[in-house]
Amino acid sequence: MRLSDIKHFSESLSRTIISNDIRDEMHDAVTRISQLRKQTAALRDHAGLTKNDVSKLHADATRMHLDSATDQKIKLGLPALLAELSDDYGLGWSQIAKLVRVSVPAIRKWRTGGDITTPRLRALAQLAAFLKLLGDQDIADPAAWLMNPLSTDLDRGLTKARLYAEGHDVELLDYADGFLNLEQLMQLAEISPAEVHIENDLVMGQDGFYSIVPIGG
Amino acid sequence: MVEGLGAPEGISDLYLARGEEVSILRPIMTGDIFVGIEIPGVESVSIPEVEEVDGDKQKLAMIVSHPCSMREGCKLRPKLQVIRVVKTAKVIELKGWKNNFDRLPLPNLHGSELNDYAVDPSDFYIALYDYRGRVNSGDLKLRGRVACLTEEGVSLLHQRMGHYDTRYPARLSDLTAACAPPFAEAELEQEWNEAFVETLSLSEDEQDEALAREGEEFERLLSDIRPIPSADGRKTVDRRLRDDLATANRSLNARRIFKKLLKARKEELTLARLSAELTAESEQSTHEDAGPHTGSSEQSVPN
Repeated sequence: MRLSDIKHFSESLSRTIISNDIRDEMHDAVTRISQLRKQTAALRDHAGLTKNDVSKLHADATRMHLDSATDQKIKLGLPALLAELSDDYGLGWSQIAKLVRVSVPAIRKWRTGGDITTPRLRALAQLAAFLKLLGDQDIADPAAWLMNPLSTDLDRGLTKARLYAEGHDVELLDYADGFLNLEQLMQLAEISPAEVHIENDLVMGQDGFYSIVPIGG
Repeated sequence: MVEGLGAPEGISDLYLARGEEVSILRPIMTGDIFVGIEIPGVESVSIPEVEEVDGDKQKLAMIVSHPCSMREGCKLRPKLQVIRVVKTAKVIELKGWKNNFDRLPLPNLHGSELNDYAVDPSDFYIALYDYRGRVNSGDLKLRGRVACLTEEGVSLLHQRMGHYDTRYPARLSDLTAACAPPFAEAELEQEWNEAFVETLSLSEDEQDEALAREGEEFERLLSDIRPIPSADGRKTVDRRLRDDLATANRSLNARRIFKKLLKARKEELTLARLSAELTAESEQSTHEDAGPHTGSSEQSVPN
């Protein structure tokens, strides 16, 4: 065997050893990355579950806050509650009726001294409590906030008041607080943006009353 | 079937008042139904399911003029558009509102309700768009009013009427928003009348006089230019309350100001009454001190 053959064999052996080492190391690296991926997936799932748990806990806390504020408001009694909603917040009787899901004649009956059931009284108190909590969240005019449309890009019938009447009070408080964005709020309320896209504008006519005109028309 | 045509969620969503709930203190509005109204040019209704129950005998009529075009100031225009309302044997359930284009269903018109979703066949009426005409507004008497529709009810009335006339069903939320200012005014005017028009002790003529007087007072309240404080109370701007009531982001503030003005007028009238009573007592005691009583000088002041 010549010296050059020995040298060539030695170099070849070194390359094989190095190549095997690299392959082994790469295999280890892939294994470690795979393990890392599994660990992060578990962490992600855990964080997701924790987020859901915390969100639910937060929603429960908001509900408890609203309930305890409602208990306080009930103590005011019917006449004071109606006066607060109407005189202080400026809500109309038909607006109050829609928000607490009763008829306007029912509200009129209560205003003139008629009896009210406990659940209905609680509904009025809860509305007053809800507006108070909104005020505590630095909403300058809570009733106006509630009566306004969710967004200028959406159908004007889709007001926060509608969502409140449909029972999304806690979600609305979270939305006012910035905890939920519009998209999340609409998801929770099961509203598809495509269904409620605004089509028309209201324009004050020459006679001093509104006309309905297509947007961009 | 037309998907764009709406329907009420429940029957009570249609009516602001029915039967005994109807108050003479509410101003006349679109969607109000009156009894005993002859409509010029509208013959008796010849529809089999109506004739079967003699459904046209009450001569019911519903105002369909738009709330924005039925008044000049606080007074009704001399003529208003109405359509005939009749009882019918053919009941339309809530799911049937997407058809039956020529009519507005009026379930449980007189208030009979099994529940909010069950139609009472013996109390089922329809308003017919084909049977339309103009009547003298003076013929529409407050005491002949049998029902008032809600804003949603009027939007449904106009959506169906528009679709019947043009085949285009306008969006309900747009119709409701366009009608919101006059409906807000009507609600506030009723509240004003409830505060200042005595219904128990006055004759019908006196009630009508009081309603006309307070109608003008209410009109002044809405149309006078006054310094209106902003929602945060930091500044005031000279505006008409009516304009603010018609502006979405100022309407609740306008309502709050209205409530304050109403309260202030109540206090003013109470003070005037107490002052008049005191003066009368004082005069009476002067008369008694001076000699035999010769008569009362008590003034008539709204209670």
